[in-house]
This record gives sequence, structure tokens and C-alpha cells, in this order.
Amino acid sequence: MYLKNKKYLWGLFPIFLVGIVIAYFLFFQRKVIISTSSDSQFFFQFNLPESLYSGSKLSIKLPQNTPNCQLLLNSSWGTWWLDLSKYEFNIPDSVMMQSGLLDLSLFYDKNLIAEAQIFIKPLQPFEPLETFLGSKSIIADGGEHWSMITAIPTDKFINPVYENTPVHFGFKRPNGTSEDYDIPTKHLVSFKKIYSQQKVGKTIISIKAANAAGKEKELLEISGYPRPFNIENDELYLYADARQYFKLKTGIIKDKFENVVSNGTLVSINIKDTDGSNRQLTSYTIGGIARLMVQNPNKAGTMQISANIYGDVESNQLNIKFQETIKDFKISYNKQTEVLKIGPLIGAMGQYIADGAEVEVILNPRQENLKALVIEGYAKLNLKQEQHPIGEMTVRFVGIEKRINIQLEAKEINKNDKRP
Amino acid sequence: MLQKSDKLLLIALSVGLVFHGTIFFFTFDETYDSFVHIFFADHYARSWFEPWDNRWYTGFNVTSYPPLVHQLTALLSFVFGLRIGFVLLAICTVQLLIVGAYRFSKLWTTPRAAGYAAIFTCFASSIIETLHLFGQVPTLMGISFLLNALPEIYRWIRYGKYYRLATALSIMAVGVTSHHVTTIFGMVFFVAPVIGLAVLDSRIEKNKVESQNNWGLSFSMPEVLKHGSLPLKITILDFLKETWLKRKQIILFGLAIPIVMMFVFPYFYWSKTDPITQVSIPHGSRDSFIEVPSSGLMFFLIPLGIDLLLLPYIFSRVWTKRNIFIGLSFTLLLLFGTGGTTPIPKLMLGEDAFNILTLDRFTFWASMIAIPFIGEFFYRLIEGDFRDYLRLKIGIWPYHLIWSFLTLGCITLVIFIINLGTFRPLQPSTIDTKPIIQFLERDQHDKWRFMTLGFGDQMAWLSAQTVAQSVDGNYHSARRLPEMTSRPLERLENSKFKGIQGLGSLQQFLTIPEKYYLKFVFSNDKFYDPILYFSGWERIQRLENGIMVWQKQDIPPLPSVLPEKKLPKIVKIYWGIMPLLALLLAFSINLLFVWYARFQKKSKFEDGYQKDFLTLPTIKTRLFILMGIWIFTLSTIFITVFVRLLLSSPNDSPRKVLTAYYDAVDFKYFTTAHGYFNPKTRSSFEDYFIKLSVEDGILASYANLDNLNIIETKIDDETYELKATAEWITPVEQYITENIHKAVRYNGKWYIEQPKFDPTTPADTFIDEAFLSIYGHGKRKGGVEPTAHEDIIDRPELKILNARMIKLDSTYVVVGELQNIDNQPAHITIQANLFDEYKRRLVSYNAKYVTIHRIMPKEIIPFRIEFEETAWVKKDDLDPAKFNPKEFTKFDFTIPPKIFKLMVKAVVNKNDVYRSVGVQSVKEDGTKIVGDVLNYGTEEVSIPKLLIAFYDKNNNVKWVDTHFLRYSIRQQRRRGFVIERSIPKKYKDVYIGTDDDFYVNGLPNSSFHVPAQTKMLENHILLKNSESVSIRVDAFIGSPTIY
Repeated sequence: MYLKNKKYLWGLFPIFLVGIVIAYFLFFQRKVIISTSSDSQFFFQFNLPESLYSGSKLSIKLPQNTPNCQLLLNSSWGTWWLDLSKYEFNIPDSVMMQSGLLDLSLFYDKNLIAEAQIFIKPLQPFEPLETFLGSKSIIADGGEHWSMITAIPTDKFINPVYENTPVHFGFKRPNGTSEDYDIPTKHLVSFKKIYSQQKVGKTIISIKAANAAGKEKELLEISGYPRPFNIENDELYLYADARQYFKLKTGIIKDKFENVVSNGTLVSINIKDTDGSNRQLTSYTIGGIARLMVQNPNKAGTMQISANIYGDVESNQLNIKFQETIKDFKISYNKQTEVLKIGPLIGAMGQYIADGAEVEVILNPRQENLKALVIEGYAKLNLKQEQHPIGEMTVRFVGIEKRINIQLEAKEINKNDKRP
Repeated sequence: MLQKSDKLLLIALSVGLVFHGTIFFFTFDETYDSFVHIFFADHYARSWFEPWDNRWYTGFNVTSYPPLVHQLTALLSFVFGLRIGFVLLAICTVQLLIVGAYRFSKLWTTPRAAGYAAIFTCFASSIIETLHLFGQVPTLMGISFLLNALPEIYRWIRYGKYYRLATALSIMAVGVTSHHVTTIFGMVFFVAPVIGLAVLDSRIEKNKVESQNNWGLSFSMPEVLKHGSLPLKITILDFLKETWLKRKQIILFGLAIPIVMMFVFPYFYWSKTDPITQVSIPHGSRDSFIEVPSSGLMFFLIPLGIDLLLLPYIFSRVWTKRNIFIGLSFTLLLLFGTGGTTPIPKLMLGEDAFNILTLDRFTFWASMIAIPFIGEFFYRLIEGDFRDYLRLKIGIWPYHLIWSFLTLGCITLVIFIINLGTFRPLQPSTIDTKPIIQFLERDQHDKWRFMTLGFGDQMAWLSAQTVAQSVDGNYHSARRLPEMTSRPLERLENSKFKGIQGLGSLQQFLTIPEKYYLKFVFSNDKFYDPILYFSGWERIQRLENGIMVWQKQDIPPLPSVLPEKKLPKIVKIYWGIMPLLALLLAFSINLLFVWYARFQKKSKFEDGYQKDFLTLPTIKTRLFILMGIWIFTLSTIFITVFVRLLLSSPNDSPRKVLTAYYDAVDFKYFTTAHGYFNPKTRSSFEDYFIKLSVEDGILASYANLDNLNIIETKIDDETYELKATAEWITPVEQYITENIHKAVRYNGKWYIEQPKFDPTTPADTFIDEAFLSIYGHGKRKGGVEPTAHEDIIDRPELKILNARMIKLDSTYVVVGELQNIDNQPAHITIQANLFDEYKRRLVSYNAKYVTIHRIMPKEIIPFRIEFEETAWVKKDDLDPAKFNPKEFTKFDFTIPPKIFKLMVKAVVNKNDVYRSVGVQSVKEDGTKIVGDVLNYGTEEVSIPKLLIAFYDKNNNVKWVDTHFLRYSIRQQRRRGFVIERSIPKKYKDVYIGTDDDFYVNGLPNSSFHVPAQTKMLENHILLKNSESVSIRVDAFIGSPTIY
């Protein structure tokens, strides 16, 4: 065997050595020697100004041969331990930037030697001013809604400035007036409520504290809830042909302070049709006016149109009277071709009824509803194709009903020949 | 000097290099899996030692797939880039595979025949399919290492030299790190038969007999051959005795296998520590190949290819005494490969294993086993004894015909497979991913998750190029979200092919996208547009490559710290190092060590392996007759099927022509559809096409035909009336249309009458309309700084007017109504939370599409919120018989909810505010409400959705319903609708919400003031039961002109 020769075991020696070293560091290095002697005391008195501006440099010199002592700094932002270097304590700039009280305590050998306090004063307000505005838009309802502009003036180290620093607010309101306010800061903040006026538009806001100005802010005043409005129609073709359109538009919809409602305000149009059915149409306002096209009814009579916006906002009711587009039409049945021919369908002015108009044919024996489309003045229905027993039938077109009876020999229908 | 057979190997290697090396560059981006592997490679290239990847499935571990191929591609990608790196690796894999097949063949046949087998390997249809169609390089790498390991295993078992154990295990270890499944199953189907063979061969060697007659492929020692023959008899007892003698080799090898498996230890660690039970994904290889011929083609006929024709020969060779073990394995593999055609695989594998495994890999392995024997057959046919025999028996020309036929078949199949992607695209056409990558990189868009729709496997390539995360993924084993693991859904992005499970899952993701931080959807398929639109998504941009970008407003960005399943550090390092170490180890042991050994005594490695002499069995006439019959039968079946497909015409019967017509319409083959119209009466194709082009709507543009039922009524010999009930799948609903067609006979062929089109002409030539166009750019400066507080935009104010919780049968629904009281259009998200009597939250869900998500100033909108559960969690929910996207998995309330809270939030909405569409002629007609939808604006409404709200006497919403119209409505046109008047039958009020239950933008509802509506609204239609109804139209505009 390989390992019979013991000299290979010497290969383990370096590993053994490394092991000893690691064990030494792990177990014997951790000891900390704590000395308890506290004989050599020394005395020191701080000689510092009462206050300093933030950002100033401060270093505290100690006499030569001072033993190694430590300085404890306590400020509103935290606590620091400083060690003596070259008989000097250099207070870090970051500590000196924070305004407020700074406590200094000198320790030697766990004993407090001296104490002092410095007040670090904030500097002048620094640009740009941090300002906040909310809500960004309010309804121009004469003072019910309000928004607030807030400024927190700070110096260049972002220390809040002195209490009662005046902050200037300037507003240019939508109605052209200007407002100016000087409001001192209180609890770091200066704020002003802006009450809505009656005119829609932008209020531009300027803010200034000492020499520092802030960004331009803007408050949007928007229109309030709409008020009742009018509707009117235009370009009317007075025949109930279920084809032509007329235009319907609202008057300019405004709120109670005569501000035009915002674009996109939805208006529902409700129509009671000439045949008693309902229409529900929608449109939205552009420049306060909602427009839409309404199709003529399919039956003579009066159409009642009204519009509304949810929240009790209603328009006047518009009544439009439509006349019959067709008085009468003929029906014929060709026994050879087995085609039912309805027509000619001539309109009120002597023109063909437009292609695609629907003629309803009701075969009475089975109450079957069939539809024929008008093409070039005639509606044709191939009744052989449909395999319907013909007899009495009703033909209905634009509200006119006609009944006819066509007698034919009953055709034999092979009903049994159904394949699955 | 090279032996003759080794020369053939060299030829095979060169052919393989040129053939696959050239073609794979062109085929790999249309394969199924290439991009998935490239994505994994990209992962390793980005962070080698961190197996966690956040980019798919909200984070998954790449330890879920053996890493060797991916890591090698990653290494190559540092020099060549991902795509070329992958292709190069694939080419190397094929080379290895050819060598492996050659060495494997030498176990069973003569060296010269093995050379033929090597050449055949280049063109074996299963390999070509796996590489050029599926892109499964890890599978190929796994099998190539396994095949290379087999001779080593044989030599270890037979001769017992430890060096062979080392080589066998080292090669197998590499195989494990590239594809562990191959190795695991290979133990049964490849390694076990080879061990059996080694034992058997040792026994034969001992007998020192030659047995040309008894053994199909006689095995004999050369010196034995000289000494005349003795009949060889090996009983089972002999075999067992021999096995006992070889026990040391077998046990050592068996013990080493678990160690080899440990090379992918983190994989097993993952599958043990992350046990996600997943619903298995249906795979074509489990279909019955007779019922689903396409699966049969893909997973049985193509991979077997020429093997199928030569099956009698293969069987005659494997079912011999010496090859009995591989014969067993081949037969079993072939049987498993038949999938669901026979119940046998299911019975043998068990229900669970059957549903997890993809059975096509068994066919693949069967074809691997067949390679030596196919090679041998061609060797014998082209230069061996078959040649002489056939030339003698049937003449020279028939002989030439036979080998030409076989070779030509093989070549045709190769060409067919390689071009299959072109004949029948398996993937959407290549998408230029650059604009998407740029979009994701721009403006911190990668701070949200994205999803792709209709990208196919190219989504993996997209993911590989970006750090942006997708909720989706392309590696289903790593799915983590219960919304996905609980469904047989591979990817969300092809959910339209997965019926309700797919679309149901997709709908959940789209309805509550904030749960997944999902903000962007890249859509390459307009099929999904309606569901996106109606669940409140908006189009923001069409990229240069034609991909539509959809976004959902008001989704919070991803948190900076994402949940992660941490692996121990040692496992991560192990995973990063071991696969390459395995490769290095195999390289050293197999190549460097051999080279080193040249300077030492050779005896350490030498064994009798090369001295074996294998002879081929004698020719049997009945084998030829059998093969002739077999090939003839197969060819006849194939040709018959083919010819019948060619000859059959849909005009044969009324039913056939109508079915063909519907299929043509479904696939939008309008020329074909037009061809089915009665030639006597039909209009010209141009006319038909123009009339068709103005018809749009959810059925024409966003639907797939699911089912068609035709009832025939004979009118006379020349005419049939056909009632066609068609079921259409759309992303939002299932539609059933009933149409009556007339079929007529003309010139002996059946045709249908052309449907009629609407002849209406609109009243006005020009219509104009003012519309609201909003652009919101905030106060942000161009740049990457985070949003300043000036730029935080006020949310539009809303007011919830009323809402109530109702109980329907066993489920709960919240309905209500709210108003936009602001001056800007709002995009709203409505969320309802249900609480039990102890105020414990049970469930929360968002309004899906029973509301309008975009709401104008002062508009009121009703809504309905249903509570869905992650569907198909329960076992009995599996495999619903029918697809119905409207159906949803109801939340299973174990504790009845008592109260609810509504949380509504809004942001300013900028588009999709078309309101020039309304209803007219609305009447109550029995139990129905009928009317017309009229479009009086300037945009064509592709899909009109009616939102029907029923009110009680106090004008509070009682019930809300939707109805999707089937057809689009063009400008100044109308379409009729019929809706049910009644509210659901088992309706029960549970709780009527008060102001204390409503919150808007996080504030109590009571902090918003708005004038109340005191009178009965006129736009409510009073019903006979003194309730009222209002109908609103939500218009989806498919191709808006505004954008």
C-alpha cells in the first residue's frame, strides 16, 4: 500500500502548524487588559463662544502634554466620540452644520472633566425655497374649497431658519387681482390657505423668504357643478324615415358662477320616441356645448327630447313632430316565381325609399316574422325558399300596417326527410 | 493507421459538421426550445453563481434544469454572443453524438456496419427533429454522453479494469449535468441491457464455442472459429452464475451511480425543497395517434422515419439470444412511444408517470437503439451479403431500385423535417425584438413586469436580452404562481390555445395586475385586444415592429427587494463549478490520462475488447419476404391516405361543403370560402371581398371556431336546408350562432348560397364631430431623476353612489354605481373586499369587465365585482369538458361574508373616451328587452359592449349585466340586440353598503360632496315590474383613427 511508508505523513506537518496558528488567534488573542488606575487627573476649562453660525469651523486646543482624553459631542442629530489628535479636537464639519444646541463633554479615563454648550445658529434662508401646494386644483365655488401653500425656509445646510422669519406669498388670481401676504414662520413652517374665488383659471403663486425665492407655483381653479341648461335642434328633415339625422346641441353649460364646465362633461340625452320606445344617447361637452346627431324616428308622431347630468341637472324638454314619410304602398304576389313584392315604396317627396330600409312581414298562420330589405324601391321576399305556408299576412313599414291574404294550394313539405 | 470503419466515422463526422453546422444556423430560431436554453445561458452569463432569476414567473431557480449546455453556451457567448455560441455548441454536440453512435454500434455489429451507422446518425430523422425542430440540445448532449459511456461500461463489466470504471463514470457524470433524465432512464433502457450483454459475452467467451447457427449474430473468438463449431448453450442458470461472478463490477458500478447523480445535487435539492405540485401540461405525445394524426406524425412517424420501414429487420436482429436485453428495451421504448394510442403505456407507467412524462422521448431513445441495426442493414444492402443475395435473386435493376427507394425515402424525410417550419409555421414569424428592448429600457419601464401575447417561444429570446421581468415564462417546471401551476398552461402568452384554463388564467392576471406589478403587455395577436380593452388596459404605442404596447394605469412599481428563495451559498458554488468540473474530469480521464499512459505500461488499460470478432447472421429468405410485405403494406397505407386526402372534395355533400365553408371563414381563407358559393348565383370574388371587408366585430376578427353542429333538412334532391349551430371562442365570451344555409347541387357538386349583406347606405356623406383629446405630460424634466413632488398629479375625485353585496346561489357579488365628480376623465380601478362577521378579510377582487373603466366627468357607471379563486386548484375541477371563457371559478366561501368595503381609485384617463354611441328603439318585449345600438359618431365600433344596470325603486343598483354584440357597428349604422330582462333567480340581498364602507383614492367616500339626484332619472327605462333599467354602451374601437 501507498501509506505503508510512514514518511508520507510528514506531509501533514504544515497543516498542523497552520492549525496551531489559527488556534492561537482564536483563543489567546481575545484577552483585553483592563486597567483600573485613575490617579492622574487633570483639569481643563472650555473657553467657547455661546453661539456660532452653522457651518463655522471649530477646533478645541488642549495644552501640551495633556493625557489622552476624549470629547463627547451631543447634538440634535446624534452623538459622537472624538479622540485627541495632536492635542486638538477637530469638531467635524458635519456636526457644525446642524443648527441647535451642541453639548461638549470632555472625558478622561471615564471621568467627566469639563462641559460646555454652544448654540449653533441657522443662516439666512437659502434658495430654492422648498414649497408645497395642495390640492393642485380646487373648484371655483366662491370660497367653499380651499388649497394651501406651505413654505419651509431653510439655510444652505437645510437647517430650518429662525422662528418668525417672514415669508412673502404673492398670488395672481384668475380674476386679475393680486394678493400679497407676509406670514412669519411658526414651528418651522409658514403657510397660507387660498380660498377659491368665482372665476376659473390659474392662480400663480410666488414665495420669498429674505432673499431666497422659490419656484413658481400654480393653483388651478376649475368649474363647479353644472346648472340646468337648454337644448335645441338644427337641420331637421321632418319625415319619420328612420334614416336622416338631425343635429342636437346644448346651450353652453355653466356652473353657478357662470364658468363653463370642463371639456368632456358627460350629458345624457333621453328620448321618448314616437312609437313609445326609448333612446339613451350620450355626448360630452366641448367648450360647454355637447352636440350629437339624432336619427329620425320610424313612425310619425312627437318625439320628446330632454337631456340631463346626474345630480338634478336637467334641460328643457324639446318636442319635435315628425310627419309620415310614406302614405301607402302596394303588395303583389307572383305565383310563378313565388315572390312577394312590396312596392314601389315612394317617399313623401316622390323619391324612392333608401336602400336597406326594413319591411316587416308577419305570416299570420304561424306568427312568423320575416324581414325584407328595400333595394331600389322594392322589398322582395322569396316565399318558396323559406318554405312557409302562405295565407294571411301583415306587412308593416314605417308605422303603416297592411293585411293581405294570398290563397295558394298548400305545398307539400317533406318533413320526414330529416337527416341528423 | 486508420481502420476502414474509422474512415467511415471520419466521413460521418465531416458530413455531420457540414450538414448540421450549415443548417442549424437557419433552423434554430424557429425551434421550440432553443430560445429557452439561450435564456438560461444568458442567465449564467449575467450571474454565474446566482441561480435565482427574477425574470420569469416572478422569480425561479435555474437549478431546475441541468446546467451544462447553458453554462457552456454562456462561456461561448463571451466570445461569440449567445446565438452563435448556442449554434456552435449544438454542432459540437452532434459530433459527439456521431462518435457515440459509432461506439455504441460496435457493441452490436461489425465495425464496418458501425461506420454506416455513424453516417446514418447524421440523417436519422429523430435526431434531426430533436435538433432542428425542437432545439433540444441538452437532450442530444445527454444521449451523446450516455452512448459514449456505454462501451466503457461494457468493458468495465466484462474485463474489470478500474480504469474503465473511471472512464464510464466520468462520461456519465457529464451526461448527468447536461440532461439528467436521459441518464436516469438510460440506466434502465441502455445501461442495463449493456451490462446484460457484457455478462452474456463473458459467458460465451468462456464456452469458447462458435455457434453460427444458434446465434443470430454469432460471437466468437477468432481462434475458436478455426476449431470447428460446438453448439452453444447458455441457460438462465449459466447467466445468473456469470452475473454472480461479475458481482464486484456490477455492485461497484451500481454504488457509483448515486455519486454520479450528485453532480446535479442542487437540482434534487431544488425539487425536494421547492415542491410545487403542478398540474401536468397536455402533451401531444400522450394523445391517441389515430385520433390526433398530427401528434402521431410529430411524435411517432417523424422520429421513427425510416426505422418504421425497416422494423422487421430491427426486430429480427434485436430478438436474438445475444441481443435479447436490448430487444426488450427497444420493444418497451417503442411501446411507450405510442402514447395514448393503446392503453398499455398508461397501465405500465401508471397514471401519474404517464401524465408527467413526455412520451416522445421514448420514441427518440428507441430510434437511438435502432441506429446500429439500420447502419448494419445499409451496410449489408450496399456492400454486404444482402447486395449479392438480392442481385442474384431479383436482378440488378430491382436491387438498385430497392436501395434507391430506401435512401430516397430517408433523404426526403430529412428535407421534409428541416423545412416543416416553413411549410407549416410552428412559431409566429420572427419578431424584431429591438424596439421592445428599447421600450423596456426607456424611462424605467423595466421597473414593472411585462407580459407578451402571441410571441411563441420568441418570448424567451426577448427575456434573454433584457433585465425586465415577465410574469410569464417559458419553462413550465419552474412555474411558481398558483395561478399558473394549477393549470395545464405552459405559457400565458399562448393561452388562446388552452381554452378556459388558459384564458381564465390570463383574465386573472389582467384583472388584478397590481398583484403582480404587471404594467405592460406586448401584443402580437389581436385576438387578445378585446379582453385587454374591456378589463381596463389601454393602447399606448405601436412599436416599429408592429407590436402593440398595452398598459394598465395605476400599477405600483416593483419593490426594490423582491422575495427570493435563497439557496445555501455552498449549493450555489457547487452548481456553478460542478458541471464544468465534470467535463474537465472526463476530459482528463479519457484523453489526458490515455496520452500520459502512452509513456507507461499499456497493460493497465488494455483488455480484449478490440479482439472480439462479431459476425453477421446468415440470410433468411423469409425475412426478405416479411420485409417486402411490411414495406409494401406501409407504403400502400401511406399512399392511400395521401391520395384520399388529395381526391376528397368538400363539394361531395351539403354537410361537407358547409363545414368546409365554416373552416375557411374561421381561418380567413376567403377565396376558398367564396369557392363554396353557388357559381350560378354568387357575386364575383371582388364584390364578396369588399362586402366582407366592411363587416367586422368580435366574431369576424377576434374569434376561433370551436364546434360546429349541422342539421340537414332535405327539401328536394337538388336543395338542402342546413341549420348550422356554431360555437365560437372569443377572449371574452363564448358565442353560439345559429344560421340557416341553403345548399344546392350544381353540376353534380354541392354548393351553398352566398349570404346576403346589408345594403343600407348611410344618410350623410360626411360626418364631423368634436372629440376630447388630452395629453398629460406632468411637470417632469427630461432626464432620469425621480418624479418631483410638483409632478404628483391629483387623482380625479369619484363618488360611490350606492353599492350592495348580494348572494347568488353559493357565491357573492358586489354591485354598485359611482360617479366621476372631477373635471377630468378618470381611469378607475374598483376593488371590493369581503369581510366576515369578525371583520376578517376573506377575499378581494377587482371589477373585470362588468363596468366601464374609463369614465367622463360627471358620468355615472354601474359595476359588478365577482370573486374568483385561483382556478383548477381542486382535482375534480380538472379538465373541464367545454371551453367557456365567461365561466369563472367562484371563490369558495367557507365563512359567509357579512360586510364589504369598496376601494376605488382613479387616475386621469387620456384615451378611449368614445361616447357617440347609444341605444334606441328600446322596448320591453315579454321577458326580453329589445332595441338597436346606433353609432352616430365618426369611429367604427369594433365590439360594442352593453352595460345593463337594473335599479330598484330607490334608484339604487340592483344588478348589472353585460352583453357583447357580435358584430361591429360602422358609422351611422345600427345593430339590433336582445337581452334578458330578468335578474338572476337566486338573488338575495346580503348587505347594503353605507358611506362608511366606501373609500375613494384612499379617503372616505363622505369626504367628497356632490349634489344628489333626487328625481327619477329620465334615462332609466321604467319596466313593468316598477324597476328600471339603464343601458350604456362601452365601445371598443379596434383600429382608432385618433392614434
